[in-house]
Amino acid sequence: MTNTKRLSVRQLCFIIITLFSVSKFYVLPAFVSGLSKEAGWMATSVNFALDYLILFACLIAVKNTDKTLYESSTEIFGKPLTNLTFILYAVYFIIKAFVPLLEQKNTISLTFYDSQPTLLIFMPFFIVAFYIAKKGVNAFSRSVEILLWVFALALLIIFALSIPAGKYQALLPFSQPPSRVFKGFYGNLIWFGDPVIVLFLGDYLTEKKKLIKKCTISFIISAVITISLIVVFYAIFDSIAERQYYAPIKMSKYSITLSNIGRLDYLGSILFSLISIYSITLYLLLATEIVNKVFKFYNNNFFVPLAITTIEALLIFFFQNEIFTSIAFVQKYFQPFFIVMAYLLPLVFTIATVIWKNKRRQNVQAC
Amino acid sequence: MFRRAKFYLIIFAIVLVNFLTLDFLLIDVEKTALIVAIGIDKVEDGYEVTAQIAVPEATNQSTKSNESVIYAKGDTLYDAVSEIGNRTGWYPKLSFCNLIILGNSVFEENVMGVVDFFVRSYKVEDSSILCASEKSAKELLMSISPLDNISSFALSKIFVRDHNNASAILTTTVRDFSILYYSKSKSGLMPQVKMIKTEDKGDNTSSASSLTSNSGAGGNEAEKNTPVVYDAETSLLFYNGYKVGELNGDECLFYSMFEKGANDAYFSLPVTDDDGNGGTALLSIKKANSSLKLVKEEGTFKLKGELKLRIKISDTDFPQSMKEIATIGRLNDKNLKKAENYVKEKLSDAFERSKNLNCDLFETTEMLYRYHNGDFDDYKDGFLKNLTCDFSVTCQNYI
Repeated sequence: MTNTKRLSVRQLCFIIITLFSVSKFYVLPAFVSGLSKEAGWMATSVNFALDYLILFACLIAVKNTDKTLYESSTEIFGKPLTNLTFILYAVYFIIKAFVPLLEQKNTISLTFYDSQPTLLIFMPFFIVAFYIAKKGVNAFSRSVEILLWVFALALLIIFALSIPAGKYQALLPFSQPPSRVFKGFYGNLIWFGDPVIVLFLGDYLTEKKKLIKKCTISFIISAVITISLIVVFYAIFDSIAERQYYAPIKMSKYSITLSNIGRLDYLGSILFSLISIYSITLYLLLATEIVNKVFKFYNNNFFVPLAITTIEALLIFFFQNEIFTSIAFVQKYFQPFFIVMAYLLPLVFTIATVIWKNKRRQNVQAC
Repeated sequence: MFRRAKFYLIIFAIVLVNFLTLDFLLIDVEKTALIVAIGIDKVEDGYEVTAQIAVPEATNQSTKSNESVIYAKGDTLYDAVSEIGNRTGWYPKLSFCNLIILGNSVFEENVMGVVDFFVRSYKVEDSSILCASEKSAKELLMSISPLDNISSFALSKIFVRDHNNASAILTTTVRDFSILYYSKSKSGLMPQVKMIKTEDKGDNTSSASSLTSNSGAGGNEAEKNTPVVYDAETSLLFYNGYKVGELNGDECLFYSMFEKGANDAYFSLPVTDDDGNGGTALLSIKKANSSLKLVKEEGTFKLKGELKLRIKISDTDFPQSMKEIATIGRLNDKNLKKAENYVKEKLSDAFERSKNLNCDLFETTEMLYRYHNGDFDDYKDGFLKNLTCDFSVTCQNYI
């Protein structure tokens, strides 16, 4: 997209650890518990396994080229198809941000408000999102260095307070019918498919040394954190888990410590919300960068981030009280679109890149 | 550059105006009623909710229990809670509600008709303690206790006294009760609170004094103003949401040892010491190790419970020689055996009674599903009816 290199491998790893996991902490644990019961963690593990395959493919594609994604794609597929695909990705990122954003809005409403608050309380998010989208990847990547430690603190608080409250036999039996695991896996898909981000962020990498190894380790850490959260969550709520939406504000309140010192766990929840807001902002940032690239706007253009943030704000405004209808709607009508954009196209692109590279090498040798 | 500055200025102005005029719609704390406990009674045309409130206001006067109570009726529980807001103009804030009392009238129907409101609602914490009242919930919340100005605070103290230790009070929360109801066992337990009158009349700040008798049906004003303390050593048994029976204090105590560790739990036993003195001794359980397993033997399932107790005599109602006292509460072999038999009998009684009432007290159907999943479909029908138990109890001297 742009030739200015602004992202280190370490920062990319931090993004994978924090932002790939935090968006799955809110509605997903309850949702997958409803579909897969005690096999929820298994279904989520399958999702992570599939996501890793895509991440691996994206990393190979990133590592094998010195060109930007847009340049490589134009070279292989031609400009019209590349432009169309990129615009579809911009749409995908806007829709992808929609459900996590609704989750955040509801979490904040439930945590701080007794009545239904106006959307204006959520306006600071859009201001931050606009600011980051306008500033670009450079500002975002530097923020992530701080976010990792905020994330670690939030995890420490939430896990320390919730782990002792769980009854882990609730996860038995381990032998589960594959249909139950598949149900959860398929239902989970709208929260997964993040690795495609790496394909776009690859343009900004300053170096690519040990890229695959480092990103793999980061992804495993991210997966372990998320699966552990789902395990603890189910151990705490067992047969009523499917009703316990917004896990971070629910699962840590049973510690006897809290009866003396109050809802300390809210601190962890608020920190998670902060990170979640960043993870959602990343989608809007990428959508902005894509539009800038396709329509050849200047990178510090004012109107594209404003337009994208406004579209997202309008979506939230119209569906603010319809989170579960919205999830059902996205699953029903956008799931195939998500699968194509998050899984199919990255695979096609990677395969095409490898074939193209080999072909070019053969041509060079023939000459 | 100037246009950009103007844009940021407008955004800043909108945020500032919102903050200064609406506090971002945060509700002023003085417009909220902090509901600290809720009592629910079934009435003819729906539910009656009794809410004990703490109104945040600057005052140095303490509020009495019966002065801080609001009632409301509604077709459903939610309706009744909303009615509190309509009547008072406050926003009823339920996130501080730590105690939910169900009146005896609620148990005529499936109790989950009431409890699932708290699972459904995001406004009430499902970590709230759930208990039953021997009488109406309203009476219990209106009672005056010498332990605290607010009756629900006094009650809560009983339930959270020694949270991690086995005791005769089987504290349960909305979450715990609901998990069991929706589990394969479909059973549950809930402590029942009885009011016990004290001789202390009126002065709420004095400590609890001698206990006299169980309270009657209530009635005249003087009786209503008699301070009471609370006894929650009986637990109600539930199957499929319906109350089916009760467990007494000792049964609750020994049952809870399979869930929690024991440190300083007590039970009484008739004993005879080496000098031939006889009477009742109060035995202190200093340590308990337990295990509960569902085993399949020759095609049938058996519940095997093992309980190892380290006990000592804490007190007797008869004089003992210095030699006996100097042994730091050691029990002789005969008394140890007697204690073993007593505990075993109580556990077997609890198992058999709950089994006959169809209440899966030890969650055996859930154990069948978790640990013998392959057999679940074949055995689940009438599983509890065909189940036998074998409790092995070993009592040893603490020192």
